[in-house]
Parts: sequence; C-alpha cells; structure tokens
Amino acid sequence: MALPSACRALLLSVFALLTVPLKAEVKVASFSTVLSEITQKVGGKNVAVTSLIKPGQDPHEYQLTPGDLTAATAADLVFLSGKGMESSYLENLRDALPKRVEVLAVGEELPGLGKGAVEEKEGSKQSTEDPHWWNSVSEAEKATAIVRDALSRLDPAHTADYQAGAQAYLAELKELDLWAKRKIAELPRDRRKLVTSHDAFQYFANEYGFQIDSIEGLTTDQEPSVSHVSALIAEIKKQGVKAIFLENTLNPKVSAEITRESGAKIGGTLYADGLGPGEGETYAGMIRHNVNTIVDALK
Amino acid sequence: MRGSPLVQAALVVAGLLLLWFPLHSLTQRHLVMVTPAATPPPTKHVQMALRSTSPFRFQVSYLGQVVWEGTDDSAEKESTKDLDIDFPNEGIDLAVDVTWATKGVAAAEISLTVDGSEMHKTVWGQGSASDVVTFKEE
Repeated sequence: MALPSACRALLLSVFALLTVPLKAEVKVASFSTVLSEITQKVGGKNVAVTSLIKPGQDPHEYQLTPGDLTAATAADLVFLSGKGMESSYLENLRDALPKRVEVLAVGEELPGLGKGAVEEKEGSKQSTEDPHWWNSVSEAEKATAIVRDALSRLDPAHTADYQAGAQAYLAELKELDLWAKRKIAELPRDRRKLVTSHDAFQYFANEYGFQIDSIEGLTTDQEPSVSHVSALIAEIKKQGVKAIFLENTLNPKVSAEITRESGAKIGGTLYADGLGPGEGETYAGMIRHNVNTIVDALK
Repeated sequence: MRGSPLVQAALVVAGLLLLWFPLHSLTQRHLVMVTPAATPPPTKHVQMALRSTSPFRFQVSYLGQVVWEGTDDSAEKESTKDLDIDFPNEGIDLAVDVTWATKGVAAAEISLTVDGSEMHKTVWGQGSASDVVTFKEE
C-alpha cells in the first residue's frame, strides 16, 4: 500500500530526527574529574564534556598526550583545576590551543586560603598553594557558580538551563555540606588531627576545624625525607593522633614505618585528588567516603 | 697476661656477660610503642539558652547525641538547660535543628555561658533550619 507523499515525508523527517544525534551546543574539555561532574550537572544536554583526567588518575603525574591535546583543541571551553595543578604542562597547552578555545582555570577564580606563594623552581614559576580546593564542599559550590557563568557567557541562549542546572546541583551540595558538618560534629574538636599521605586537605581542614600534617608535600611526586618522617612520627606521638590516612600513591614502607614507630593505625584510604573508582565515582560519594573514613578512625 | 688459657677465656666470657645486659637495653628497639594518651579535655559546667523570634520546636546534639530538645510556645521567654560536658580548648560543635510554627523567615539564638563568659550564635531559616554551630572560648 502506497503512503501519500506528505505522510511519507513526515515519517522520513521523524526518522531523521530520531537517528541523527542532537548536536551539543558547547564542547567542554576538562582536566579535573570534579569539574567534569560539575559541568555535566550544570550543562546537562546542552554540553558535551570530555574528561581528560579519568577517575582514579593522579593529576599530579598527568602528562599531556597528543590525543588529549586534539580533544582539547576541538573544545569550545577548557576547564582546569588551577592553583598550580597543571603547571607542568600549562604553557604547552596554552601555546597549542587555538585562540577560539577559552581556557578557564577555575581554582584561580576562587579566593583560596591566603597561605600560598608562587616560587621559581627549575626556571618556571610554581604555585605552593594547596590546589585541592574540591576537598571543601563550599569551594565546590563556588566552582559551580563559576562553571554556570562560563557556560552562560559562551552559550547565552541556554542561560536559563544553566541556572536551573546549577541551582539543582547547589541544592545537592548544600545538603552534602550539612551532612558533612553533622558527621564531623560527632568527633570532638580536640581529636581533629588529620595526618594524610600528601598535603591535599588544607581546604578540608580549614572548613571543618582540623589540624593537618602530611607525609609528602603538596604533590605526590616528592618522596618524604627521613628527617621529615622522623619529625612527623614525633608529632603524631606528641599529639596522640589515633590514625593516619593513605592514598595509593604512597610508598607502603613509609606508612609501615610511621605506624610502627608512632603507634597510630592506618585509618583508611582517602580520595585526595578527585573522583575515583568505588564510592568516589561521584563528588558526593567521594566526600561521604572521606568524611566517614576520617571520623570513624579518629573517634 | 698470666694464667691458663681456659681461665683467661672464662674471664673474657664473664666480662662480656656482665656487659650484655646494659648493652642490650641500650640498643634494643622497644617493640611496644605506647601512644601517649592525649590530655583529656576538661569537663565544664555549661548553661545553654535558646530564644527564637517565633514559637518553635528544637533539638540540640553534641557529639552525635541529643542533649536537649523541647518546644517553646512563647517567643518572649528564654529556654535554658544546664549541662556538664567535655569542653576542649579547640571548642565544641553543636548540631541545632529548629522547626518554627510560622512559615516565614525566623531566627533562633543559642547562647552558651561557660566559665562566666557568654557566647552567642544565630540560626536562620524559613519554616525550619539545621546547622552546626561552633563555640570556642577566646
């Protein structure tokens, strides 16, 4: 049976609409797992996010690959963590990207803790400020607003969508922050002494009233010196710290030495550098895992 | 040195045995590490007071335990509660949950009097509010 031509044309149009994927308005390349999630939540269907740092990947050790550079070049907007996290490849990235690609280092837009400095190291300027701003939920809230504004600037036609996406995500973050505060309130303030693998929890400590110490420095690529480990053991003993927290980047011999000599136990493994496999696949899951692990071990 | 080699050897062994105990105690690593117990925080007498802009129901928790809950039908008077709690130098966190009878914006002020000094924090909300407030003696 032959269909009338108008009906056939209509069916063909519907078929074409169903089979051709809708083009995303804004292409975003992200060098941060946390920013990838924020962008996806705020941007929704109007944004296509390519996450160049994968969950569980150590951003301190990341090397810019030709494939990732191609992906970044194809984007309209590139999000960086900022505050020195990308210092090893930032210049190359900026030089290689075409001018039409906007590069936004979100961390640079955040007020920070006022403790950092920029120093010359091996001929290039490196930040000594803690770049792990996502370990405080209130900083993630500020980052959400920055992402919303950047997307709205680039794609003003969908501003209302970005505002709605940000509003919904901010409500989730507010709830998460209150949960974290209540959980941490179960731990007496004099027991909030956090010793971690590397110095990634300054924002967390500032937000939730912890004193912190770390085995490595701000990055994971520096082995701790013997004198630093000895001083840390003495401090753990002096403060009566019950537990230390690890990441998979730390040499297990160092952590074994510290626990043996100080009497502290291993409190668990934390997500320090962003999202990762397991509970840390989402930002809320990452924060909940970290807070539960810390509070339960130090109680 | 005079004397038989056997006597000399016995003297050397006796000398080494005498030295063994002090040398051993000086060089042996202590296998049992005792973490010094952190000084326990002082227990202090604390007077809590709550005042709200409108009638309200409230719950105050400390270290995950509800230490005070109640209802106040009058916005005029202040509810008070006396407690003896651990109060470290680092301060304390109180989780405060408030539900107001009114649906508009309302506020509840929680005050603590410790060692004669008074501290205040205010919680704002519309219909209800949940927050964690920190009190630290200056």
